[in-house]
Amino acid sequence: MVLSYTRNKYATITDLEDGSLLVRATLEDSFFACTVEIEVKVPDLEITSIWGEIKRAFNEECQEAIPLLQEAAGLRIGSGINKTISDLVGGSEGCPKLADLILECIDEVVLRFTLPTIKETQSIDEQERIKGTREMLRQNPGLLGSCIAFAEDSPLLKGLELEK
Amino acid sequence: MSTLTFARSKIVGIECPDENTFLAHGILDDYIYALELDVEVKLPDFELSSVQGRWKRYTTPECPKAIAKLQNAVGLRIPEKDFARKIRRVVGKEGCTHFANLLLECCDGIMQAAAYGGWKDLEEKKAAPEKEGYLKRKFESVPGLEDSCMVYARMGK
Amino acid sequence: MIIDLHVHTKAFSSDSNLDPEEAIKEAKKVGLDGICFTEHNKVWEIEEIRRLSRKWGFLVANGVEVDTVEGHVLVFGLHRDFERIIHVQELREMADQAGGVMIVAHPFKSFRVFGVSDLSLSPEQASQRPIFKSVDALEGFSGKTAEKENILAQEVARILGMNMTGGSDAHSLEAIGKCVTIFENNIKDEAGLIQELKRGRFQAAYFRRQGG
Repeated sequence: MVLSYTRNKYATITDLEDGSLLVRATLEDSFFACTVEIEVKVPDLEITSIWGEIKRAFNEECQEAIPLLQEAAGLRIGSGINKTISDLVGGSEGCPKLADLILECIDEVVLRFTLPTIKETQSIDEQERIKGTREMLRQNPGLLGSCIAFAEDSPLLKGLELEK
Repeated sequence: MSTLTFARSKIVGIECPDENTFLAHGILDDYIYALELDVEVKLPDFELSSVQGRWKRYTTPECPKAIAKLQNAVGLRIPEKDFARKIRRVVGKEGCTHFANLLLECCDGIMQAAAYGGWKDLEEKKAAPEKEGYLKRKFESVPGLEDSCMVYARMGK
Repeated sequence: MIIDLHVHTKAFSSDSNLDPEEAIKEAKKVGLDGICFTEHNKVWEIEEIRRLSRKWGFLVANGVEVDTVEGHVLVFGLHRDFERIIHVQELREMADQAGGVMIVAHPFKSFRVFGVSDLSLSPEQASQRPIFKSVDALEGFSGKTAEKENILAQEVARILGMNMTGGSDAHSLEAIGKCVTIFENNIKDEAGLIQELKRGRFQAAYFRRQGG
């Protein structure tokens, strides 16, 4: 059957020479095409600059939302930022599509720093993989209860003493 | 030139096999995870009637158990209050946050298809009405569309 | 007096499964002298808090955890709800008018699989965050933060010469009392709590250990 709607969303990160991150998120769907780019200072994870454009939109008035992006400049990526972005850029007084792309950029940053820890748990040997995962959990007790793999009754946690 | 240090792609395709059904097929692929979803939603309530998923790449031996937790989403309705929060809890926290992410992407795609899908057909038949009138009619049949952004909230007044 | 300054209940915090009266019972059971309900952006009715306090013969105080652009802030002495996110400076003005106290909650609460300390954020760099200029104290012992993030908060407090509080940020029974604030003087009510917070006559600590 022919599709009535399609969406493609992708996000990328590159490390800049000064150690900052350049994060870009793009949405291209049947009716909208927009991009948001942020620069993030490390280690504080402050959004030092933000830029965006709407190349295609169902309504021309959607362009009015671009200045809203600047609400995100100066924010730090950390606890509570998702709600902050949704409140400042999204909702019925903003543009949920642009807010969503900023959140996509933020997700990218978190995953980018998660990657080294995940890599350390990966091994060809299954026992080594389990051992690596348990060590990751021990060092990051915030993972406890975050998903089925790290549920309190998960076999991965059996006998594991977590960091206080 | 810098190389990528992380990337993620999400693709969603929506079919409408009949006037009361949306079928979404979604894929998420990033440096760590790869997964896929098929979601069926029924009108008029935009109720999730079927959710099926598959893993391609995951990180722990327990991750495959998250597939069964997708069934927690069946029966939920996209326009209901706190829908996204519920999905993050019953599919995400109880299963896998990445499946929850992709499921929300599929559901958002379905609402977009509901809002704008008919416009494409009208354009192709060269029968497209004036946009504002089209949208105001859609405000009645697509819950949440009217207050979804600054442009539509203004239009709805 | 040993008080858990940061607790969420299901009465007004949708992400908590704590019944308020069960929370009070648990606080008493683990050896606390008081508990503060600091719901997300919403305050209890003063009379209802007083009723609970009288019913259980236990200090129950009212605060609120406000979402600001710069971070989460615990406020005591400001009896109003917050429908939208605001800047911390705006909150400061409101709290000053009401004679309230502001404490930045879990200032370095990070992500599940990595912390800001993993990024080699030094205490000196961390202490530069503007939010610290707008608050009266910081939560140096948070029950919802990894120990390394609490250590970072404690070092920032030392650099800035700020007082530190402790709170569990409990959303479930077993978390109550994980971190506490220990006051030098007896506190009978919310007004007394605000007075002691302003005078800085307290210290923070871990209290209830895992499984305790």
